[in-house]
This record gives sequence, C-alpha cells and structure tokens, in this order.
Amino acid sequence: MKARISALIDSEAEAAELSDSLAAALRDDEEAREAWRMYHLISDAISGTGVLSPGFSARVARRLNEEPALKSPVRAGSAATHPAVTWLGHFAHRYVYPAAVSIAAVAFVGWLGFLPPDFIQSIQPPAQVAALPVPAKKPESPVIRIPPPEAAHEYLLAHQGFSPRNELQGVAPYVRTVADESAGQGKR
Amino acid sequence: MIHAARSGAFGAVSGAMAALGLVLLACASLAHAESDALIWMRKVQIATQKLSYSGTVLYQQGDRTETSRITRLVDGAGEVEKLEFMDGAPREIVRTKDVARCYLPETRTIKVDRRADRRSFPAVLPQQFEKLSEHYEITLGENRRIAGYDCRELVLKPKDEFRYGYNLWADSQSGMLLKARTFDRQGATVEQFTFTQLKIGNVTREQTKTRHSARNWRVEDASVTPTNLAQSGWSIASALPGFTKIVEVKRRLHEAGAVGQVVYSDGLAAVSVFIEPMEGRREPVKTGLANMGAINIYTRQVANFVVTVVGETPPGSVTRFAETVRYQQAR
Repeated sequence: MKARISALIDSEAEAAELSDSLAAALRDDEEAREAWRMYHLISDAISGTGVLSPGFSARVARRLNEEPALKSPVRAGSAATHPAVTWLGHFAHRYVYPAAVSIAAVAFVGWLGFLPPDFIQSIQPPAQVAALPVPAKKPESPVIRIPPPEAAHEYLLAHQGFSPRNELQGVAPYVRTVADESAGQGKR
Repeated sequence: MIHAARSGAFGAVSGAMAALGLVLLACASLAHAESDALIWMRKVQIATQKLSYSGTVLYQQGDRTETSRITRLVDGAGEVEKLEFMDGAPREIVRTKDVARCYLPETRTIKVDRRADRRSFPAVLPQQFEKLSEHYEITLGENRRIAGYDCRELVLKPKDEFRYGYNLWADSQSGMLLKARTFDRQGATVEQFTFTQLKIGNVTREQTKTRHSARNWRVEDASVTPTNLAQSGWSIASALPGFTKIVEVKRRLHEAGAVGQVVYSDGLAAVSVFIEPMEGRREPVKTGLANMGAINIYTRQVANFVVTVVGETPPGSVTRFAETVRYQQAR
C-alpha cells in the first residue's frame, strides 16, 4: 500500500484504479494514513509546491538549527529519516492530520471522479492511460482495404434497426442503408 | 517554539483547505455543466419519440448527397414514420414500433424487418446517459438558427479513438433535432444530416402511407428471432471499452440461410457482427476493411464461416471486433 500511495502521489499510477482502495485504506489503516501524510509532506517539500504559510519553511529551518534532534514516533525503516521531515511529521500528526488528511482523502477521491481524463492524462505519463484488456498486439501489419461487399446494403439495413441513433434522429439514418439501384450501383 | 510551529501548521491547514475548497467547487461546476447537457439530450430523445413532423432532410457524406422527405406521426394508434428518397429510384422506408418495411421499386421487393421484441429498442434510458458520459465528453455548444428554428447545440466528444464524435443541434423550444454531424478524431466531418425544411405537427395518417401499391411484389422477411450464438460455439470478446452486447439474433440476409447477428453498443454508436456459413455464398471471401462513409465494414473468414463486422465507428474499431471472433465447434 505505501508504495502504491507513493506512486499515486507521484502520479505514476492509474489514478482512478486506486481511488477506491485508497479511500478504504485511509479510512481503516493507521499505517496507510501516516504514509499518506508523510509522502505528501515529502512530495511538497521536494517540489516546493506545498501550501504552507509564507515563511513557514524559514521558520522550520531556524527552529531546526536551535533544536536538539527529536525522538519522533516515526517507525524505523520508513522513508522519513530526514530530521526536518521527522520534525514536520511529529507536529503534523498532532495538529494537521485530523482535519487535513480526512478532507484530503475525501476530496482526492472525489477529485479523481470528476476530473475529465484529459486532465488526468496531463498529470501522468501518457503511456499509463489505457486500461483496457487489449489482446497482445501482433506486429502491425497493414490493414487490407477492400471495396464494400456486394451485400453491403443488406448488412446496413439489418444493422440500422438496432442503432441508438434512431432514438435521436428517428428514421433519418436509414437513408444510408439503401443503394440507388436506378443509378446502377450495388447489384442486389 | 511549539506556538510558532502550531501557527505555522494551522497556516498549512487553512492553505490546504482553501486549495481543496477550490478544487471541490471546480468539480461541482464541472458536474453541473455536464448534467445540463444530459438533461438537454434527454429532452431531444423525448422529442424524437413524441413529435409529429414533416420535412426535407439533406444527407451529406463525402461527395455524396441525398435528399429525402421524412414524415412522422404519433397518435393514439401508435407511431409511424416514412422516409422517401427524392433522388433516383423512389425507394421508401416505412417504420412503426414493431416493423420496418423497405420498398424497392426497381426490383419490386419489400424487405420486412420485424423487431425481435415489442419494447422500443434499444431504449436509451436516463441511466444509460450516465454511462454515455464515461466515454463521451458531453457539453452544450453554441446556439444557431437552422431552417428557421433557434437551436441549441449538444457536443459529444469521444474520450478515445474507438468512436466518432457528434454535434447535435435541436430546436430550443421543442427539442426536435434539426441537424446532426458526425466527426472523426481530427474533427473532420464524416457525415451530416440537416433538415432544410421542417414543419412540426399537423400530420395526417394518409401522409405516412407508402405511395407504392406493392401488389405482387416479392416479400423478403428477415424473420428475426433471438438466439444464443455461444451455444453454437461462437465467442466474441467485446474488445472496445463501453461497448456492451445489446442483442443477439438469427435472421435471414440475402440468399444465405440463417445468419447470426450480435449487436454491441456504447449507447450512441452500434456495431453488428454478422456470422454466416460459407455455403451458398456467391462471392468468395475477401478479407479486409471497407469504408462506406461513417460506416466501416471488416470482413474475415473464421473456420467455415464469414464474419462481417459493420460499425458506426472509426475503422480500427471494427477491425478489433473482427479479430476477437472465435469459433469452437461444439462436440
């Protein structure tokens, strides 16, 4: 789960796929919540896009210089071994987490649902987007172009009866289905 | 130190909450805009079913144009609509809820296609409109005057390359569709239907009858009946997202015996997979892709059968469907 949360935040995973499991995990799993919070702080700190108040980073740096190393409740082996992050984690856990993470979890899940896929595509590598069970692609052989089959209009007429276009256009789409025999097109 | 950190942390919280609030607001207005479009689309669908009208439609596809007169009547006795070709041979199609008849005067033939079941099919229910927005971006476009009617535009932009996009212009008062344009991935027009003249209401039953006496004409009845092709050993994977099977029938098609037809749809576009035995075919199977305007057709042979996929989709989609058809002879 941690790796997936990390990947999600770094926008490397299929966002929609993870939203449900993410919401569940954040709700139920203490470790997942902590990882969520931690990775956001790391990510924001690294990218410089955090929504911290102006001067927050400066205050942090100043305080760090003054403070002895804190023993924080962060588990050994987690990514948060950097003192600044450990310190941030400690105070975020006490003051920020209850409000921000629950809001963030709900908003994030909702956000994924509403954003048009174009937007999601723009924040993750394009190669990740297609999620269809596509049969393994054989080496691309050029598709052979042929003229329409002799019975093309028979197929068209048989097909037209089931087209949802009839729901919006009535009988109009049938104009495609009948050849003009007097013009000599399409033997029947 | 803790106080400073706390105010710093709270600054972070309010900043985060403000940002989230903006995101939520943006999402809400996005959803609202889309539901307006879907509400309008529903109105257009209802108008198509409920209105009586008569008019002239211009069909354009590539260099081809076709002018036809359409007359539709809805009254206590049911609904009936007629399409008359104005150019060339006076072919006609008369359609009621249950039956579609195609009159071909050159060969003195009537083709009859009875609906497999009596429900209006496929009824695109409001729930299915929600499904539509999974694969199409549905928005309202600009207003335009067409054939004297002030129309609102509905734009259905596909979210992938497997389907076409549509612009639909409908009368803002009645919801009557005046113009429909199909476009491809590059935005180029694939085909277009436009009412050049339209009168809503005031239609008599007499106007919906065919001009042909059709006495002694040959009747070709499609004899459409539901069937289960899997039982005969056929399997077709729907390789396209959003396309689900909507009907599976057996029917007569030209001289072939019983032909299987499986129809898939995403709610707006449909693809038919026809399966017919090789025996009795006049022409050999030519494998490949054919184009007829907005309709693409892929033909290939599977075992001792010819598989023909006919789709209101870009060429790649019918090719994909055709490639997933498999046959395993039942033992």
